[in-house]
Amino acid sequence: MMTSSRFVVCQEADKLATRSAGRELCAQLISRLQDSLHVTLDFQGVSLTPSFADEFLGMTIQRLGRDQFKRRVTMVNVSESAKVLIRHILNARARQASVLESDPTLIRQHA
Amino acid sequence: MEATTPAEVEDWLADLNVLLQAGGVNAPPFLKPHHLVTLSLALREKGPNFLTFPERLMGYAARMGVWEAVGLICPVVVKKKREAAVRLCELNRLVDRQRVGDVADKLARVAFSNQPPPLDKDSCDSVYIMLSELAENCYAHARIADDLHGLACAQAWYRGGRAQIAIVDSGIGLRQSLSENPSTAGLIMGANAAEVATHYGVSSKPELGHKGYGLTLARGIAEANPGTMFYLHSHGEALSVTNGEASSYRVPVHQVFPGTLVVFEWPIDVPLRVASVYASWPDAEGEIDDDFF
Repeated sequence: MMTSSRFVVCQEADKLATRSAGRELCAQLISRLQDSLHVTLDFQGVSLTPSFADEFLGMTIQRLGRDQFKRRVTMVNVSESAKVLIRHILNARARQASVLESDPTLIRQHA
Repeated sequence: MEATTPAEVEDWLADLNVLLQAGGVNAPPFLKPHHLVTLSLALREKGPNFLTFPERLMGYAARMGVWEAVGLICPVVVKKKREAAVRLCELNRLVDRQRVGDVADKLARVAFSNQPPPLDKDSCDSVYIMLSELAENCYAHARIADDLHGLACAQAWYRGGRAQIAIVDSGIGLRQSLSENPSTAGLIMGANAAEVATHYGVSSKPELGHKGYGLTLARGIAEANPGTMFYLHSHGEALSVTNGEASSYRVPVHQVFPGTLVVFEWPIDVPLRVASVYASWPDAEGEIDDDFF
């Protein structure tokens, strides 16, 4: 397993606007995290839409949990407006994940 | 270029209904994006063999791709004109999801391509982000099986200092769409569906994590920027934002458009900031973490 790798968002997908594009990139990031202990996400030149960010980052934090996400994922070159969006989405999805984890009545699965 | 009002859009929708029923109607003085998307989608559904405009509007309609959008052959040769005073983005059919970002990018560029350096990147990004969300919604709700894909187009009037973007689909509409989901059906009972659909978190597909970001962003940006006009109309229910004030209402039956129309028009020298809308969204309950960067 590699110690660390860099994930340049704009190089990993041509289109970064839609939910489906975010879903694809989330799968790529999860795959990368299986090979690397730590991933640096580089958002240089990326205009993040809420739907894309939700599928890409929101679903990643939901899979990893808040602590593991913060330990294993670093985000760089993020514009100030994208930071506001990302904070909002990560907090919302991390909250959802913790509710799911604490509910003993649920059957849980991951896509 | 005078700012467009919601009443003008609705007057046009009444004229469009006359055109569809009677076969002809007095043309407006100017054609704007909201005329073009609604006309083209309605006629594509009706399937006419012939379409013509007054001579003064023929060239513009041809350059905007009206006949192609309707499914007809354009009867005039399209001349490339010097575009010092206006900038156009022709009618785009949203035929696949992969094109959503490209179309949003083309639409957004219309407003900013005449801007002297340095480019107001935050405004450009804000418009692109809002349009990406709206265009993806439009694609998702269009009647693709009937070959009635959503349509979008844009125009900027540099001398007038304004730009307008219009997006339309002929889907089942906001009320029907929200009523089909048990988690949102209660929200629209006794309420205006256009108003409800612009609230944060309201989507007909919440189980997929959708939050209806596009309409929420458009309304939020319009409310924060006096001079911006946002108009949402879905099967007779409308919400408009002018001078920062939102109002929702049911339009008279002769002005009903049988689909969902979004018009966004703004003064292009005013900065638009999507981040201020994000900042107004409710925080998640529980632990709030600012330390992700």
